[in-house]
Order: sequence, then C-alpha cells, then structure tokens
Amino acid sequence: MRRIFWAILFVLLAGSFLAWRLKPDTSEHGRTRLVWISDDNPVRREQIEIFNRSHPDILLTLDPGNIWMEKIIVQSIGGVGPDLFDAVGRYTIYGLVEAGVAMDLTDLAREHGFDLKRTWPAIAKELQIDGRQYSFPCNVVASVLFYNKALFDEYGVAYPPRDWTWDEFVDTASRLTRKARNRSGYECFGVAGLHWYELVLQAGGRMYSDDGTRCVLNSTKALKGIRFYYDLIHKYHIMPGPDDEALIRSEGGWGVGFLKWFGAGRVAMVRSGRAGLITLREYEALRGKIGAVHLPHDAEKAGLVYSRNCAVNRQSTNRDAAITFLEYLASDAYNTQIVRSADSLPPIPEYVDRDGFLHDPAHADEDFNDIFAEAMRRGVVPEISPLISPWVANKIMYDLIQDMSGNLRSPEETAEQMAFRVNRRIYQNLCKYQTFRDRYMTCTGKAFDAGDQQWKQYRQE
Amino acid sequence: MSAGSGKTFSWKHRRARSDLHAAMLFLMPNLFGLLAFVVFPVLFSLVMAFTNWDLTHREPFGAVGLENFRDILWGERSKEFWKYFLNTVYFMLGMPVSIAGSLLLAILVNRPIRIGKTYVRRWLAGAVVFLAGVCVALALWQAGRQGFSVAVLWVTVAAVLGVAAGVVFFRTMFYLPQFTAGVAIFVLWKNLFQPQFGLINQVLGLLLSTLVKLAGWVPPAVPKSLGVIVAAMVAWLTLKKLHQTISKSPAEGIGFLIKHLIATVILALGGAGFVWMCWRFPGLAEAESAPPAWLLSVKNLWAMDPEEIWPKRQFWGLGARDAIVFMSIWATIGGGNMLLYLAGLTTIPRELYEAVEVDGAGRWAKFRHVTWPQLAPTTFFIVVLSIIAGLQGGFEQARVMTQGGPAETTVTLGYYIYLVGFQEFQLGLASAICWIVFGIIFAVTALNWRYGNRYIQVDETVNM
Repeated sequence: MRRIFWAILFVLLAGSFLAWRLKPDTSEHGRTRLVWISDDNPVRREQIEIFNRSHPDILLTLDPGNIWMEKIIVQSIGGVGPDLFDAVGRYTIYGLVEAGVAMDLTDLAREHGFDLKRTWPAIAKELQIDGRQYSFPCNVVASVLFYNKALFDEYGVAYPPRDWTWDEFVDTASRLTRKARNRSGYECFGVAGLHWYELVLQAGGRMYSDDGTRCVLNSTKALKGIRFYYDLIHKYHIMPGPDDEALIRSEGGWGVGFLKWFGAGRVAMVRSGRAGLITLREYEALRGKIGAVHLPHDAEKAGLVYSRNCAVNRQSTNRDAAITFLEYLASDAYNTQIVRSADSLPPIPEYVDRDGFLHDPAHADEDFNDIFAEAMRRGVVPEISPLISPWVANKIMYDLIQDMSGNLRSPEETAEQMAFRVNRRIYQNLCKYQTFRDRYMTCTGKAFDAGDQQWKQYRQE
Repeated sequence: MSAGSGKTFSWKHRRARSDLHAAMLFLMPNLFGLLAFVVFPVLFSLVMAFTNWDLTHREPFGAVGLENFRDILWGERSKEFWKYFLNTVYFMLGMPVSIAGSLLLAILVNRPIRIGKTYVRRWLAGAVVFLAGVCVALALWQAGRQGFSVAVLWVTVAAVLGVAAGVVFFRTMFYLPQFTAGVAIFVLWKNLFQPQFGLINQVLGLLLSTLVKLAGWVPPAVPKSLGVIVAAMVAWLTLKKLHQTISKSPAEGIGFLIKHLIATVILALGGAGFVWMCWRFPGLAEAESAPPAWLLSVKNLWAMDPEEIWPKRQFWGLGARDAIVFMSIWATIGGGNMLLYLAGLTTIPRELYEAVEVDGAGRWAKFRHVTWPQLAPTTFFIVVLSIIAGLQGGFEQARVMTQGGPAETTVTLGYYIYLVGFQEFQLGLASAICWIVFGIIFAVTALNWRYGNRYIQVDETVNM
C-alpha cells in the first residue's frame, strides 16, 4: 500500500513541477504585465491599445469582472489585487483609501505631471483626501438631458430651451408621456434617469451641514427636491417607477438601462453623461435626432459631477509601470481619444475648448458638445461627512429613496428618516470610535458630548 | 483478521500498523485541505468575533471582548438583527409545503405511468394529446393570446414526452431546478414577478378579473345564504367534536384532549373565515381584484409591519417575502428531498402494504399507517436539514432579486452578514453575527434531535 502511495505522490509532484515550469511568465515576451480593473466599455480596448503601442515594455490588460469595491479591497488585502483599479466618484475612492489599498500619489503626481491642478477644479476637490492625492481621473462626467427630436416632432412639442425651469420641464415631459393602448402601463415616458440628489441641490438643499457633522436632508429646501422626485413618478407620472425600472435592471452589462429605452423610443428625454452617446450612436433611427439641454433647475442651476478615476494598488509589484499609465491619462493621446470616442469628458479641461471636441467632423449632427463643458463647470461633487462612511450613508439613502419611489413612504417621511438614520449612525460612530471624535473636534472646534441634548433622539430606546 | 477467522484484530500487529500509516498518508492531503480551508477559517472567525477588525481602520485593531455580541443581541444593532431573524424565519414558512410537496411528488413518480395496455394504445393516447394541445394552442394564438398559446404548447410537449418516456421524464423535469444556476433562476423569477408584464400577474390578472365579473353576476343573497348554511354546519360539527373529545378524554388522556381541542379550534376558525368571506364576497372581490406587486410590495401573509415587526392589517397581502417563499417552494419541491423520499419509499417492505390491504385499508389508510410512519426517519432528516438550510439561506435571493428591499423586508441573516462584512467592512462584527447564527442553528438542531428523534424511536418501537 505504501508503495502505491509513494508512486502516486511522485507522479503528482512531477506533474506539479512540470506545471510550474510551463507556467506563462507574467512578463509576456519580456513585457511587464499590468492588470487594470475597469468597466467593460467598448472604447476601453482602444485606450489600452494606444497605451500598449506607445509603451512596448508594458502589457496593459483589462479585468472587467472585479469592478466592485468590496472585491478590490478583499483581493488587494489578500495580496492578489490588481495593479490599477478604477473608482467611480468620491465615495469609492474614499473607501479604497480608508481600507489602505490605494497608494498615496501626491509626490509622484507632481513629479510625473498628473497632479490634480491639471484636472477640473471640482474634480480636484473630489479627489483630494486630507490634502493628499490617491488617483487621477480617467474621465469626468457631467449630466445633461438628451432628448429625442423625432418624438418631439411626432407629438408636436417644441424642443426644450438650453436652460429651463422645473415647471417648464414638467409641462414638456407631460406632453410627451403616453399611456399604453391595449395594456396597463405607459408606452412612452417623458423623462427617465433623473437623480433625486440633483433635485435636492437644484432646490437649494444640501445633504450635510456646513461643518459636515449632521445630515440635513430634512430641511425645507431638501424636502422640496425629494418631493419633486416623488411627484415626477406618482403625481405627474412622467418618469418610470420601480416596477418599470425592475424590468430594465434584470439586464446586465455596460450601457444598458434607460439609454436603451431612449434608443427604442420609450423615453423622450434621458439624463446621461456624454458617454451615453457611445450607446446612442448605435441606433440608426437616432442619427441626427438627438439634442441635449441642461437639466432643469429650481432655485439653483446645479448638477452632479464626478469622475471615474484610477488609483494604484499599494501592494502592486509593478509600481513604475502603473505610474506610467497615470502619466498616460494626462497625455494628449489619451485625452484626444476620449474626445473622439465620447467616453465622457477628458480629464484635462483644455481639450473641451478645442474645435475637435466642439465640432467633431465624424459626428457633425452632435452640435451640442459645448453644453457638457458648461455643465461640468457649474456642477458640484457629492457631499460627504467625515463622521460616517460615504457608502454606508449612501446605502441608507438609496434604500429609503427606493421605498419612496415604490410609494411605500411619503417624501416627508423619507426625508425625516434619511436624516434620522444617518445622524443616528454618526452618533454611534462618535460614541464608539476615537477617530471620529477627533474628526468632530477638527470640524466643530469642540469635544463630542454624548449627553448633549442634540443627540438625545439617537440614543437607543 | 476478520471476526470469523478466530484471530483477534490488533493495532500492534505490524501489518495493521503499516496499513494505518498508508491510510493516513493517503488521507493527509485531504486533511490538510480540510484544516487549511475549513477548520482554520472557522477558528479564525471565532477569534475575530471578539475583535474590532475593520477593513477601514476606524480604530487600531484590538480585542473588544463580548462587545460585538452585546451590540447584536441587545445593543445598537439588536433591533435590526431580530428583524432580519424574523425575515429569515418567515422565509421558512414554505418549508412544510415544500416537504409535503416533495413527498407527494415522490409518491407520484414512484409508480410507473400506465396509459393503455399496449404500446400502440399508449402512442395513440400521446398523439391525441398532442393534436388536442396543438389545436388549443392555435386557437389561443388566433385569439391574440400568444403567451398562453406558448404555455399550452409547452404543457402539450411535456405530456407527450411523459407518455413516451414515462415517469423518468417527470423525475428529470422535477429535478431540473437543481441543475440550473441559482442566479439564472432568480433573474428568471424576477421577471416572472414583474407587476406589469410578468407572466404570473398576466395569469392572475385574467383570473381575478374573471372572478370579479362572476361576483358581479352572483346576487349578494347567494353567498350570504351559503355563509349562513356553512356557519350552522360548522357550529354543529364543532360542538359534536367538542362533545366527543370531552367525553373520551378521561379515558384517552390529556394528550388526546389537547390534540383534538386544537383540531376543533382550527375547524371553528377555518369555518368562521369561510363564512366571513362569503358574507363579504361582493365587496371583497372588488377590493382584491388587483394582482399583487410582489417584489415591490411590503405586504405579507403575516401582515408584519416592515418597521416594527408587529402585525398590522394594512400590511396583509402578498408581497416580496411571499414571492420569495413561493419561488423557494418551486425550487426545492422536486429536488434533493424528493430523491430522499424516493429512496425511502423503495425501502418500505411490500409485506406491510399487503398486510393492511388484507384488513381492507384504502389508499389514505395505507399512507397513514404504513407509508408515513416508515418514512419518519427520512422526514426527520429532511426537516433537520431544511431548518439548517433555511436559517443559513436567503443571501442569493436578496442579492440578486431585491437587494434586501423593499423596506428591508427581504434582508435575511445571511444577507445581513454580507452587508456588515462587505459593505460596512466590519469583519469582526460580521464574524460575531456568524457565530450567533451558528448558535441559533445549533440550539434548534439540538431541540430537533431531542424531541423529533424521540418521536421516530417511539414510531420504530410501535412498528416493530
């Protein structure tokens, strides 16, 4: 019996040795292999090809299957993370920095020419964490309203003005909304994809107080924005509700959802960034029929802006190659490609003022490109509080907004609950963690007092 | 060295020791794997449950004693923990239906399908079914009901294949959900439950609108009269049962009294419910004629308030929780439980059935006095495993179908562990929740073994 065992063991060891010898080298044909976690946008391949051609000693590969933040953190901590990973917006990069997986790039960025002074001021504010830089934007997003000229012509509705108010918007969208003839539901909605937080900003509201220590979504102005979001679905019926969204969400992949409904003529206006054009250009019926205007406004002409930014894994063994990639993000070749492919807006602002962006000869019918730059310049980045993890706060708000969209809560209750639950979590963080108490001291100039009257309602019953 | 050879087996023998060493050498790779990937992580998580391990480094890493357990069981997280525990228990409501269904399916597929005495007659029957099905499908297609037409075609194909392949076809069909990837099933059901376009509400909407029309034709006096008649019958039956129970109970004992009193109460309540429905029929039909919103609704059969976990009338109905229960019943009814029952059915001695047939027992009596007691060990095993799976489960459904909504009504303990561990990155707290869930499962399983096992042993003693 033992002889059999040793024979089998020998065979297995020999096989393992052979497999190890035949394992492909990470440096393919002498090239350093870089793994970049990003989304599966079709134009990503061209961006990678340009980089690989101009850097023959590096082989950049895309990993679109691990884009979730928790995957990146767990893989990186486990030592099997990528070299480069994308973070979308402030919340994600904040989380990656807190988890200790993103490398501090401040000094390297200055040295290699991709510091935050080179990008948009709002994005520079978004990506600066405690005065340090941990990433550089791959592209930046400012939302506008695309509208389908064919549907406007069919329903005899005048094209919207470049800047318009909520009332004008509701009036126009109402005239474009059509009920289905032989079944329940709607054949065409006036608009889709509006973001509740943008409506709060447009109403003059805020998410957090000036010092960032309290959630103020229950203020009158914030409530006005939240109520308007609710009314779009349940009062005016011009925007799809959760049951319609549920139909779309079961589809997966990049560029799906309301853009496809817009392409199919089921939505007359859709909120999207410039990257939406990548999907919309595939629709023959929309050639020359797309227009773009600013999001409607109330008290403020506000819209959210954010970036898809790229960070370097602190544990990457190919650090130099990764820094080279970030240099590439600030290069002419990359920014020109972004302009040409409509992959949102380039990270370097000067490219949107060039003729190649404003009047792209390959898409002469897209005569609205200046609106993106304008939206970018007037946009604001999402607020965060130093006393609560942004994605925890985001999840609380998202769940409550979903309930409200499904008519399970009133706007007033939603606003109250958002403020209550976020502030309760802030209170719990302050009671539990010294780190947060120190931040509270920095923000307010005074020590946290758990017995203070302002915190009374958050104490556990 | 066998027992029959007359020699005593001993580990001191050189050959035995050599065999043991060889066995251990063969087992070692598997043991290493077990230690590295099962035992070590479990022990590691137990240690981490007593720490403040947080991937976002809010505080320096250190031991916190029982603080995590305190927070979850009666501290700042207790309200949400117990709410999600109730959600988990709610999802197990379908378990008795699923187990009973598995038993029924096992009994059905345990016998061959006999259609006609000859091969030719069987195929003739199949051809008739096929033609009839195709005609009905065509008629529905012409009438503009393409969806129903396709459904009828599928049923026809299934029936014909059943005729051709016999019971093997149905066994395969019932077991099919087990082969299918979970996520694919959940995405499919999510579309089925879509309130506007989903197939379920298309059918339900048609049925309910037909019922409402019928309700409109029926004069209100008819259901009310029926209600009065049924009320009188139920009252008479209930009193009769009560009288029987009380008169027999001194002889039969307290157990008999309790069992039959419970049956009496159920009969009275069921009858009262039916009478109430008859009385309210016209208004009820109108009010309940809209199909449920399923995954978008917080209503449920327990009428549980999503915030406060207490029953409240306005939450009574069919919603996300029930949708997941129905889907789980479908997924498990033809699965491993059916196979276990099939295996159990084949072990029942034929002589037992012959013995009760001699006494003139019908099908129900055979089931009650032979099949059910003989399957007691299998049922016990299935119940124990189902409870364990139920308390652990619910993660995939929440993650794919509802993200825990609406209003956190579909967050189970499994999904809560994921939220705390990988959305808040508090791995110490998530580990503590895991161990609390383990404690609950262990306690429930121990209770099952203590009391359920005793029932099986009593049955085995009686049947010996």
